Amino acid sequence: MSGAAIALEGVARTFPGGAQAVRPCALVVPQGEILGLLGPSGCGKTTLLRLIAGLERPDPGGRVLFDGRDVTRLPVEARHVGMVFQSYALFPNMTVAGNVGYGLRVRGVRRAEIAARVEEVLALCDASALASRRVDQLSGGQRQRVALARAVAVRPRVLLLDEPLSALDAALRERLRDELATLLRRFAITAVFVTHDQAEALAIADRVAVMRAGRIVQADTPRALYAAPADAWVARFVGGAADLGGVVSDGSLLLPGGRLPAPGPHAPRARFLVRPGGLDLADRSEATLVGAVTRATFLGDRLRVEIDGAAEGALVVDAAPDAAAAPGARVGLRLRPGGLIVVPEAEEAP
Amino acid sequence: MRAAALGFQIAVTGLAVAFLLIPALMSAVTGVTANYFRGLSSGLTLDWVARVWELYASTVWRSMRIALGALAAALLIGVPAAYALARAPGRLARAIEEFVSLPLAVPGLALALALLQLYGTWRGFRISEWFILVGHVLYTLPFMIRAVLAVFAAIDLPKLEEAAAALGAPPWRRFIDIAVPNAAPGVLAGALTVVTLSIGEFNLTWMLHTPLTKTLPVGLADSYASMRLEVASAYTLVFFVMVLPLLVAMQWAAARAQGFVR
Repeated sequence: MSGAAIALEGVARTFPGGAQAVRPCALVVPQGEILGLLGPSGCGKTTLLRLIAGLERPDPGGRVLFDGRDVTRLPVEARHVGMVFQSYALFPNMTVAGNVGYGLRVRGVRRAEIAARVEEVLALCDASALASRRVDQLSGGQRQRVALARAVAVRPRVLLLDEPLSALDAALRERLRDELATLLRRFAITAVFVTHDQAEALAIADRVAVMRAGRIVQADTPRALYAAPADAWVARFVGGAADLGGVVSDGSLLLPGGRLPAPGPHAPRARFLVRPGGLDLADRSEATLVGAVTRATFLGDRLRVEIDGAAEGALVVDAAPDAAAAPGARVGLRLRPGGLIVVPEAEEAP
Repeated sequence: MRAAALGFQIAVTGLAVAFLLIPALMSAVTGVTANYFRGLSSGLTLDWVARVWELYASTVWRSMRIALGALAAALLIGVPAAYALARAPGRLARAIEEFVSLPLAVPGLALALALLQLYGTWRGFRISEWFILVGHVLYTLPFMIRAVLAVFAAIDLPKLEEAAAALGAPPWRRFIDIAVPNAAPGVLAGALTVVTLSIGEFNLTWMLHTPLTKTLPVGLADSYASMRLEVASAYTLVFFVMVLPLLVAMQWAAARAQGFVR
């Protein structure tokens, strides 16, 4: 493992208009970790990334540390980071090789060495064939790989990626997501990437920091994030959980359409949620919870069923594609093992 | 039916072209005709061109000097100014961008009057070529700034600069390695516009000139008023020869910059 450990201490960013994009926050990224910054648009995740890069300055009092050394006052060009921009920002006046070698040229590296390193990095990114191409002759996926190669060519201490896949079309995005995860592990360098797509965050990151309204609300491994969300908002945002409402009594959650097993002990003001994959359609005679189907959408590998009357709000259940659930029908519901998510009741900032 | 429509189109286009070209051609031909009143039968001659050169060579050289001076000023002031404007965020910078174009909307005569009011009493400056150069710079600078700004806006300069900075490039290297090369098509289009406009400028120069600081177009007006028709026409011919290659190059450069912007 290489690269630097990143630490943020009390880092905040208030824009001239007075809007606070990032509230004072603390974050530690250990050396070699791939961290995903996940959140809805406008949550401050890109600003946080730019604060790490040095493209933004934190409000007074905040500190950015690389390997324990304070870099808060260093401008981006002195921080030795690798940055991949959302639009890739390749230099149109240079070839692919010129782009990838630019960081080394600026550092005064000898020509022969630059050529060798460019070749090496392009090979690493499976882009050797592109070396002499002009930037405007590249496809979206190729641009992304060149931008990545350019960022790592200077052997940065930290690799930062701003929505690295969002400029690609949907089909390509899924393929390149896995490719990017492989590449980032091949570089073996501390990396932070920003995304609004939870599948992307869960697939690529070692750890995901979920951001909301300028705050990091939870930072955990993808599995822990999915299994134990910190609050109801995280549960809804990651995995699309729905609030059940209801009250607990004798190890059961009492709901308008019946009850679900909810063995305690629970905190006095716990909230219960369930994801589309947490419930299963069941025969009404065996089910403890019943609701009415309002909509059934066939998605190929599953049938997405919306159900009213079971919980306090509407529920979404992913059923087998051949399940019998016509709109209007009353269906029984059964909890899958581990399907119930319990979170503490927390005040939800707007 | 379609053939008739096509024929009509060709006729209209031909008439329009003739309307524009025939006076220019007539003038050019007159410039090499021995005696205009006897027509082409009097024979062709280059005597009139030689006579123009004898009388007005100094205006040709002066126009070239001033055009090059205006170009130098546009490059030294206009390119950095466009760069600064492209990088500056905020409403003030956008307001300045609009303000920069103001001389385009003001008639050259008004601009010249303002200059005369301000510097008219500064005699040494008033009677020198520099006075005319200042007027031309005021008039042509916006064209350079606009042309370069358009290219900078199309390539998203701030993002490219951030990318270069992240790769370790200090500000001066970003200007040399990223800003200037990417602005090249705009600079070229702007440069040709500046030179062409400066060589052809009449309104403003006519107000600013003295008998000893005549430029080519002012000299033209002078010859039209006081010389034989053949000499005036030969002079026009000289002007065409100077300015036509520039116009062609300008079209080519503008097309290239457009293609780049797209």
